[in-house]
Amino acid sequence: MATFTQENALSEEPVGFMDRLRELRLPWIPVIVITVLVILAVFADVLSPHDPRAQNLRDARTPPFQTWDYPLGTDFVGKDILSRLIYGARTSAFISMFALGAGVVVGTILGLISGYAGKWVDTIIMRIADATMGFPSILLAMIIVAILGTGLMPIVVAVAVSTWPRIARMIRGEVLSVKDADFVILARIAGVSPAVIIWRHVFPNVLNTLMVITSLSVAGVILTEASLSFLGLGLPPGDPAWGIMVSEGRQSLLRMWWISLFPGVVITVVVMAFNFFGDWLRDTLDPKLRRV
Amino acid sequence: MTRYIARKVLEALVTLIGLSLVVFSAVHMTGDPARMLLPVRIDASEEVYEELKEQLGLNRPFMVQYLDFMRGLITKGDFGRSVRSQKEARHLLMERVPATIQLAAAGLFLSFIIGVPAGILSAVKRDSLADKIGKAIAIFGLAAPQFWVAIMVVILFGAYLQWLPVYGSGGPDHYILPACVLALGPLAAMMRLGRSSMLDILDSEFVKFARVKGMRERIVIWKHAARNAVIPLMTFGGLTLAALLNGSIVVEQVFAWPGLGRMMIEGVIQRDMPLVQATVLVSGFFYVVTALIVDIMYGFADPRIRDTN
Repeated sequence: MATFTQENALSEEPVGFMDRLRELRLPWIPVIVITVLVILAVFADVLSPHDPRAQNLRDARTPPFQTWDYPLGTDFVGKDILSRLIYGARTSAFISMFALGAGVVVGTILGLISGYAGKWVDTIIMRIADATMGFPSILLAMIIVAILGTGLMPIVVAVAVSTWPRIARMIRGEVLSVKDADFVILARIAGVSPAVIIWRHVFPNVLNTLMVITSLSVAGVILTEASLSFLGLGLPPGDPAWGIMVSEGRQSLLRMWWISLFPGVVITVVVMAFNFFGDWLRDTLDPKLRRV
Repeated sequence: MTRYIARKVLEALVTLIGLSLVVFSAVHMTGDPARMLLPVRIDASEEVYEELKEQLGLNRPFMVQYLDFMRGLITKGDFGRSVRSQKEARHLLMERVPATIQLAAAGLFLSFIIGVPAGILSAVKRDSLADKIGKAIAIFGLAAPQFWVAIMVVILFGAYLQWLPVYGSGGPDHYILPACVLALGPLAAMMRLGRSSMLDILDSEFVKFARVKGMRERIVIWKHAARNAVIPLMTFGGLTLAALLNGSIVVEQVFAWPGLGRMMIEGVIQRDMPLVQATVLVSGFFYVVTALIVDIMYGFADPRIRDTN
């Protein structure tokens, strides 16, 4: 981003908002998908035509694209698929936000401490991170669900646990490259406390990396949440979550294929959008991370 | 090399001990096995309860119980009993483990045998139609949730076309669909990595030199470049394994495959903690040991990795 402002400064032409936007080369399709997802999640109750849990038995087993009342059809007890997809966006966004938030906070703090403190603190934190990161995420989540039971909270914790190590690793790496810079050493000589150095001088320098790694983690978080919901380890059955919807379709695969099809398509499209968006953010903010 | 192997083995051991501690304390925290074992219909008195606790050794300190469990596990392969079925977890495991290993091996084989050549090919024929198709498959494979792909495959090949069996294990044809679905994720990753590493190699000096020397293109690509392109893929062996294990839990559930993954989910949902403990420990063990083997193989293949800390 710095490059084009510089160029523009040289040519001394006024830059409008639209020019700046064009320069960013935003990946439009992913951005639109993500925006739609956010709108659906926020306004789920306004936008969805039916109650996602209501069983309209008279209209049960309506195939998709038949009536305007149920554009994507209904399931075997007459729950509207479209409304459930819209509420599913809310569920997914809600869980992902909390899980990712927790993962980012824990990962950043531990990464900062690990990188700045070095020595045995670093060794211990990084060993734990490596062991957790290498371990299959669903297996890890199972252990957590086994301890805490099924439900919203355990699934958030389970997803967060599989997210933090990668973030901690990246942040630590960045801290190591800033740690010996003059401004940090001078701050230390001036007697600034480590906490203040980390927060005021080191943290702002790892912010770009943090944004990139966070956006690249979103897809994994959504997939893990959906898998756990699918396995019945998340929210109770009947709740509107994409993973649960796919699982519900298994009861009658041959005659009612649409119950499983649509939520899966939605998950795939959303995950793709976040993958592309994350790649773009990485290339824009931090090209040296390309190999990660 | 010896030092490298020793360090890797030590790391693996520490991971395993850590895992067993976490799982054992999880089981310890979640439920009182003595209460669970007491029949619900009888109002068991405190005395009976205490007696049972004594009998099971549950009133000893935590570490003593842990060490005792580990001794039984290592010397006799004793995993305790399932709370639900009252069968020994060891026997249940023996029934399930082979099915999972067979499926995972089939998945690994497929993803390697298709993913690596496809990745190399799309690097060699960069920007061709084949490359674009490969890219599209990789993008889809990394984004589509495996459980959903599994179900779509069941609908298409099992229900509509009725070409292949989609339920349980049996003859060789039972392997085809689950193994393909299981392979999809790792395959996509291998294609992508294989492509980028092959592109790097094709750009390197020794490949250019081989070409300048007038060596035939086929030999340059398959004998010189491809060999070197495969090595970095091994670093992702651990990642591939994790993906396979993750996948097998889901795939077993959809295809009613009688493996470890299904047993684990049953255990978690029924809160049968000894069973969860046994399945998690066994899959964790397999994972850590295979990752260790991959690490050691990588040490042999690339001397640089041994010397770096």
